[in-house]
Amino acid sequence: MVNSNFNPGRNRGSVLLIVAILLPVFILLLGFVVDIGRAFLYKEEINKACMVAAEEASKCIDIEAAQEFGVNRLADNYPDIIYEYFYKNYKGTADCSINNLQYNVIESIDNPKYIEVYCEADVKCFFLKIISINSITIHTKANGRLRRIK
Amino acid sequence: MIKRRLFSTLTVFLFIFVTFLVPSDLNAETREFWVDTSHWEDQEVWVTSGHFQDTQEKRWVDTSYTVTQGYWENSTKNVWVSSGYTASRWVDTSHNVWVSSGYLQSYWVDTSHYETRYRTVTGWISCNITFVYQNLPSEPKNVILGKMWDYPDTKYTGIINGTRYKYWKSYYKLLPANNIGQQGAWVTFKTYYHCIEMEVTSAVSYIVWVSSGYTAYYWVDTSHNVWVSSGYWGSKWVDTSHWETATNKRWVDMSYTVTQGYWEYYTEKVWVDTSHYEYKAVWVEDGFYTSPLHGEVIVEKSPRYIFTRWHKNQNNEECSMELNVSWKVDNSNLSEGEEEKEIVRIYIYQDICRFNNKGVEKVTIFNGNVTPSVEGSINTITKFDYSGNEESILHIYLYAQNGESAHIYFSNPINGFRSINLMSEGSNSDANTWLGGNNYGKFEF
Repeated sequence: MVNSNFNPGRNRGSVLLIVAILLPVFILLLGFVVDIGRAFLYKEEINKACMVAAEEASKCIDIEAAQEFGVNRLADNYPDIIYEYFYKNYKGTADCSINNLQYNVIESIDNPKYIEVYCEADVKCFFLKIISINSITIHTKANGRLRRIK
Repeated sequence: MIKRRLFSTLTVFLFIFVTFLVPSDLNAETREFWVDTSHWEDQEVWVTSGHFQDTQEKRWVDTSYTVTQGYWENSTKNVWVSSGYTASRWVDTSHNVWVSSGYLQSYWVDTSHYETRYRTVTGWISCNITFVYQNLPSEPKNVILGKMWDYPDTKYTGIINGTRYKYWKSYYKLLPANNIGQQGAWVTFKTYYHCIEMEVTSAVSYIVWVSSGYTAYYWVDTSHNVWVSSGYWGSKWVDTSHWETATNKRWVDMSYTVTQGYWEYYTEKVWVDTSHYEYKAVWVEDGFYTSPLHGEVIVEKSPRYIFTRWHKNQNNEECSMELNVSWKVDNSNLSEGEEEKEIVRIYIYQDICRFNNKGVEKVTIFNGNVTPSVEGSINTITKFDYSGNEESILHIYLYAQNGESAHIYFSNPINGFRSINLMSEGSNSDANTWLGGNNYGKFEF
């Protein structure tokens, strides 16, 4: 069955029109995917640094107290260890700025059940600036605990 | 009867006497006792093991056979018969030979020619140039009279400004008022050099015939062809090969092979050898006999909780164990004539019972002779590679000169730790505490 109303000349230019309408949408979607992907990459990297910092800080015990009294007490310099190992494992870039790096010792320094290292950072957007989203804020947290070999 | 009574009385007396000879608090055992130093040792043992395994294999069973058949066939065919003979003939090798020859012929190349040359001629030419020389730096004051004095008759020859001239002089003299009445009142203010001739040097050309030349050579080529007559008697093969018709009988083989067969599956038992070396804790029976030794030992251990060397203290030094062993031998109850007992050798080691059934690690802390003494001490520092549980035992053996020994041992766990990452929910369990806690002890033996 042939549609006798089909006129090729009448439909000429319709593809161009569709492309003109959909192309910005595709570009926006592509930019969205790229920016979100970058944010996830940075989050992964920062999370790795947090994990290492939490692990290293957990090992930072007052060894003198441990040797003499058998207690597991965090040393005074454990915050320095957190900062040191975080920034050793995360090299800052212009596209990602650390807003906040926090740590928290669960229970107490004399009985550290675990150490929580929390980080918040802003990742600058490339494409989403078009729709006024200049940056994406990422949050990540890692826990570290000392474990006696047994 | 009297004899029997006397014998029994003597026996009772001897028994009582011997009983009092051995002091009971010294554990005066006259016999040597066995010091058991048997221990577990990790040894590499070859464990022979294996099993038969059924494996499914596939093989090709060939049932091919050959059918032999054929027939004799008479055939006529053209056969090429190779034949011929050798005939002798004269082979003429006469030929032309090109003889290269020639010689050098000399000839004179005359290069004589006229040459224009130059020479310098110096002479005088007339001129009319006057050079003025001012004799004074400035004109004198109060000049009342000036006059030119010419001497054209006196000719001079000299160099002025680098050119030789013939000239005469005139002087312009002034009479200052101050000089009136004095000898030489006229002052020569300027001298004029009137040049009448000047010396000129010029180049004059002239033509000269120069005779010259050289000898040159050219090659006169006398090369030519020479006919050389030569030859030899040679043999030549005269081929008389030809086709001949031949009849023969041949077997036409019509045999053929029928290729066939099939794959057959069969099961075969294969020995899988799983023999290997295994580290096994082997009980090594060891020990020796020694007589009793009495005294006291003071063991001081620092710190109370021991950590492996992989952990650092505040000074960033590896954690270690400092052990001080002091001894004092009790020689107060020696029997008469018995030599005073002294400690001559110390053997200290730690059996670390490692976690996760990794066996027993023996660490020798001290094993050597010491200065023989009744009372003394040694100090050791030991670093441990592996952590161990509460069953880890520190053994101290003190040996006297005659082989007597004392054995002291106590639990000495070695701590180690590592850190882990937890899931986001964290952990509710308390922080781990450390094993051990003893730091000293006084032992009597």
